[in-house]
Amino acid sequence: MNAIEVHDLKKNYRIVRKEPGIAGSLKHLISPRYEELSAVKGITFQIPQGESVAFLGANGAGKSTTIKMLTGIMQPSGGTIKVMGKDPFSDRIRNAKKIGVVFGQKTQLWWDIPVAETFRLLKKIYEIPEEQYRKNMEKFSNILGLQEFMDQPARKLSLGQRVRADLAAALVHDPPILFLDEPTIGIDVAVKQKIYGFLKEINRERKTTILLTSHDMKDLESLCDRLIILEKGEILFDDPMDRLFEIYGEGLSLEEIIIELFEHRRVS
Amino acid sequence: MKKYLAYLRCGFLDGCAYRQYFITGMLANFIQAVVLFFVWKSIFHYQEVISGYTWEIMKQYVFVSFLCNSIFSMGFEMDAAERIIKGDIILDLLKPVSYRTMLFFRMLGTAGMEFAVTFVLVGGIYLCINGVQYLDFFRTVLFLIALLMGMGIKFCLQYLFSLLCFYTDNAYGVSKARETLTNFFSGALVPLAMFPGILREAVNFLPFRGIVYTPCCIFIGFFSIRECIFNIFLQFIWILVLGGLGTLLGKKAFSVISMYGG
Repeated sequence: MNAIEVHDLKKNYRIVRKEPGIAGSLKHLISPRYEELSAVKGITFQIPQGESVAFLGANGAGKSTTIKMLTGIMQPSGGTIKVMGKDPFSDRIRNAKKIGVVFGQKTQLWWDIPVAETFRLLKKIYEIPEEQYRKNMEKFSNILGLQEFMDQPARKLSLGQRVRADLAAALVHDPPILFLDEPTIGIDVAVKQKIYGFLKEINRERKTTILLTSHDMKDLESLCDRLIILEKGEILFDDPMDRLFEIYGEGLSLEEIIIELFEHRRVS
Repeated sequence: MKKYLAYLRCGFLDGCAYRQYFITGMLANFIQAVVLFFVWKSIFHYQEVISGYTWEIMKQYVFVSFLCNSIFSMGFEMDAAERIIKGDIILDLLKPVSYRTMLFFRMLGTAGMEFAVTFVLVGGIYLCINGVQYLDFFRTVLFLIALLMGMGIKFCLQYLFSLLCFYTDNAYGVSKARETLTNFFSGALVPLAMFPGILREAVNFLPFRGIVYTPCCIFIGFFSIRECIFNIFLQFIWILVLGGLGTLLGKKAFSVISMYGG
């Protein structure tokens, strides 16, 4: 069964067209001009349960937009999405139970109260049975080292601690699907390793479907079976990771291949 | 329901996080009430009766109206509005809970503590000045019901206004506009009976009077029991209407969420 089915998915944004300088800004106040920008231009793909897929692409390629639509918080401009057989936007609450999400740039931890309280809240809102909650927390604490800062409010955590806690928070209700949007942005190597090791284990043990965007090629390579490369809102490549190496030669690293791919694309 | 009680708890803890902030907020409230008291005192010094109000009545009105308007102050809706503008609202929408109900309980948790302290403080001042001579058990019960209904109306209005941030990008402007409208048309600043002709009639058709004026009139005894019941019923109708509007606008607003959260 496919965990995620996306068909001809589109998203257009309305962006402001402002002329430069003070005159331009004043003009914008009186008669604003807008322009349609299509961030995602009709992409189609399926992801079976248990697969781990990397989304790759330059900044602004449409990765985050796609993830936001898959998580049900953003309405597509066109096309259809099925997550576990349901439309995530119109069925937001039910969809939310089945997914875990980490946005590396944001945190779902409560800013001013101890991290432990956030977890307590999650236990209640996802209606996690006591036994499962205790087991998960024990496991996450061991691997991610949460206990050292559980009694601290989120505002006092370092970035690495925060991301570790956010990751545990996204997984505490055992979601079958996990979305990660640049989870390791700005994270040091040691923590990064910890996080990817953890994700690998989760993916293997629980058959959690993982959809991940990142710019860390090395980590993507070790974690993900499949690669979807987006460029300017379209799918440029969608195949198993190995296939990329078959095409471009085994000698190259993923990073080199990607650079070449983008360069090549730009020329042609 | 358990889910939302958990939000209430976190909201409460959040409200307790900053002691200085809390104390300053309380102090500001206190000063406001006292200032209003002396303004009215000096006005009644020159004129004994204004639109049927005497100083004896006004001494009650000042504190009761202050109490009615003190829950869910502007800061809370600004919080919600700012989350919309910064895009943090997406984190709220990723939870398997109704956004509006969640917001209500979170705000109630944070505001609850502040309201409890205000209740004791303002209630204490009221008793010092007026004593227990005007208190009537049945009226007080009706007043408390009307007070809760008033909170409901206020929350519905705040929710509606915070949704406007999806379109306006200005949390302060939207919250300030809501606050000013509420303060004026609810009777928090001036009893509605003192409004001139047409305006006095017009405010009867607005939801704001349910926040302050209705509970105040019930408490002070301007309404007969029949009128009390009718006005509480009216508050209830407004909650349904504003709640319905909130649902409609919410549906529309969440579909334009694309603009936020890069």
